Amino acid sequence: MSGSHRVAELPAIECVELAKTYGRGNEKVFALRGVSFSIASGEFVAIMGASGSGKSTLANLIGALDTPTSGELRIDDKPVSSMSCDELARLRNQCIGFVFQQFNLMARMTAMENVMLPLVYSSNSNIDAEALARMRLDQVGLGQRLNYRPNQMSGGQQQRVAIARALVNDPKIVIADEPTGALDTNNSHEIMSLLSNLNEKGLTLIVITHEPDIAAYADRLLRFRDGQIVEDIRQRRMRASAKERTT
Amino acid sequence: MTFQALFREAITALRLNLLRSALTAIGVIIGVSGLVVMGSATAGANKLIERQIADLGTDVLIARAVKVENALRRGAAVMLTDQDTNAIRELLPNIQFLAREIFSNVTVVVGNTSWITQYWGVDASYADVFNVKLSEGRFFDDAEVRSNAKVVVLGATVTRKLFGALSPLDQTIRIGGVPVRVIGVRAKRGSIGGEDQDNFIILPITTARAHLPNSEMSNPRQLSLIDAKVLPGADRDKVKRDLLALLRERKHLQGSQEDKLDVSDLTQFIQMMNATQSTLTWLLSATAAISLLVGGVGIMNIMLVSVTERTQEIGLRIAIGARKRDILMQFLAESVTLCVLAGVLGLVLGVAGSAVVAHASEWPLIIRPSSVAVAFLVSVGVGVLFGYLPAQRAAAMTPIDALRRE
Repeated sequence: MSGSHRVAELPAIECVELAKTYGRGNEKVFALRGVSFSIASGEFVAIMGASGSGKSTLANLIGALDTPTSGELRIDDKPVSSMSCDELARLRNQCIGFVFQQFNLMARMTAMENVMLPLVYSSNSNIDAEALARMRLDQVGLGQRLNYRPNQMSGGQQQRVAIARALVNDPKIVIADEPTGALDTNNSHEIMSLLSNLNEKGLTLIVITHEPDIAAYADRLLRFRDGQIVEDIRQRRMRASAKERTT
Repeated sequence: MTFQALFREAITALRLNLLRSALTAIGVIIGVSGLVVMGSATAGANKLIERQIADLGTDVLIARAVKVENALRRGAAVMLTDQDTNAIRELLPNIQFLAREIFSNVTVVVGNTSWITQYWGVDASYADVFNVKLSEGRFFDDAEVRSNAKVVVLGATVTRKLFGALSPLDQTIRIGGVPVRVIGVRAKRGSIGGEDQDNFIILPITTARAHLPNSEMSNPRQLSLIDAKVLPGADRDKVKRDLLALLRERKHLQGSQEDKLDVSDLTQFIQMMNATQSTLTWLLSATAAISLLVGGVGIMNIMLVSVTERTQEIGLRIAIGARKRDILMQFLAESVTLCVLAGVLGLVLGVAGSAVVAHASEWPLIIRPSSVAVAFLVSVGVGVLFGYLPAQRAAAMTPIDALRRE
């Protein structure tokens, strides 16, 4: 993360007529019907919509977990749509951190091991994986729970581990798909405070949610309905809570 | 991903399903141990044969009249006699030692113990022809052959059957009712292909002719075999040809009547042993191969289950940057690790099995480095061969489908 909070000239993410359909013939489902927008580097964008509105499809496309049916997607000015498998893997490993609703931690691994997992797939072999993982876990407030396994931690703690994992390779962009969907209100706000803190330090952040009070943390809101953007508004973000800042 | 990291991951994954991994490995364990036992048995048996050949020497020729089975031609059967031996001694200077031999079955008795064995009635030179080694006592000499001496040399098996652990020297045994004094025991020779090489007694040929009835001998001067040792330095094959030619001439055999006489040497014996050996080797190899095949299919099956169970894990790994080949390698490493561990166990079991087989067959325990290498390579091979399809299936998953699957 660059220490300063600035908006770069080149957009971090750019979508042009991005479309995704599932199935074929009469069964065809239009998940995304050609959306165009760009997200600047350092922005904090909330993507809202009911289930089936296409917001998760968009998150998967931006996270390079899925491929668009048509249209163009550029991340960091690189055309994702035309990348090879290995290039996509590198993108997922180096440029993008993905945070899942269900955390997706490896049950048999400790917090440390979970956070170190992406480093296994990094070509850079002279990094001190353990030091890096410890630093990231410290950053999300779990410096004391390095050797806990997921089943020894609360949902909020597990999601923090997942965030530390998403950050471990120092990505430019973090995409969180319903990061608070499996958490209670208290934990939800702690997670959002953590994420918006990271954004303030320069991280481009995209949060998929259907809860307005989660979306309120963002400084831009994209609202989806039936696979299209129906609203794109900039808003005054809710500041991270004082409680989170002291931790 | 480094080799070490792959291996560590594989061990962790296998340990999560320890029982399942162990059960899956059984086929490969059995297959590999079969290969090791086979390698060791082949080497051990060959060593034994070599040792026996070295004892006897490869320059021994054995002449015999071939039995004619066809009743119509029986009248034309030839017979080796003492006169043939005399002629050989006169005409073939390249033969160093020559011994007459007759043999048949006989019952030997000591006290209340009796034992059916084969007697060999021979000249004293028999000991020179076959380089006979004794564990006790001595062989009989020419004077004893000339005087029909009632002396006998026992094979190790006969000694054990009649005397147990006691020394038979100077004891009297009854052979066909005739009391004969034991003067020597031949050193143990072991068994070849399950056939005991120590079940015999050796007597002077004159004694055998005088006292032991032999239904196969229609002439008092008839011989079962003529045993000859080629003079060192002489061309064995030429001597063999000369011996056969001389005997054929003496029996007035024409070209077409070749099958009535036979001169063999130990190379033929070696070839015969090798043929038996290679049949055995093939059989064992086939068994081991089938076991490995079945074991391999078991590995493939369990790896497919493992891949299906861990679909979400695969999805996550792809989502955080694993390439197709990382996933492929992860699962290949798992099946190869399983197979190599099975291979190591199979090797240990195989060595133990080889020791048992070697002990039972009385041949030396030989584990060649090559069979250890083969065991290892086969294990890796089975792991790669049967792990590839499941690993390929894992690597072909798209992250979104893998993550969604429950």
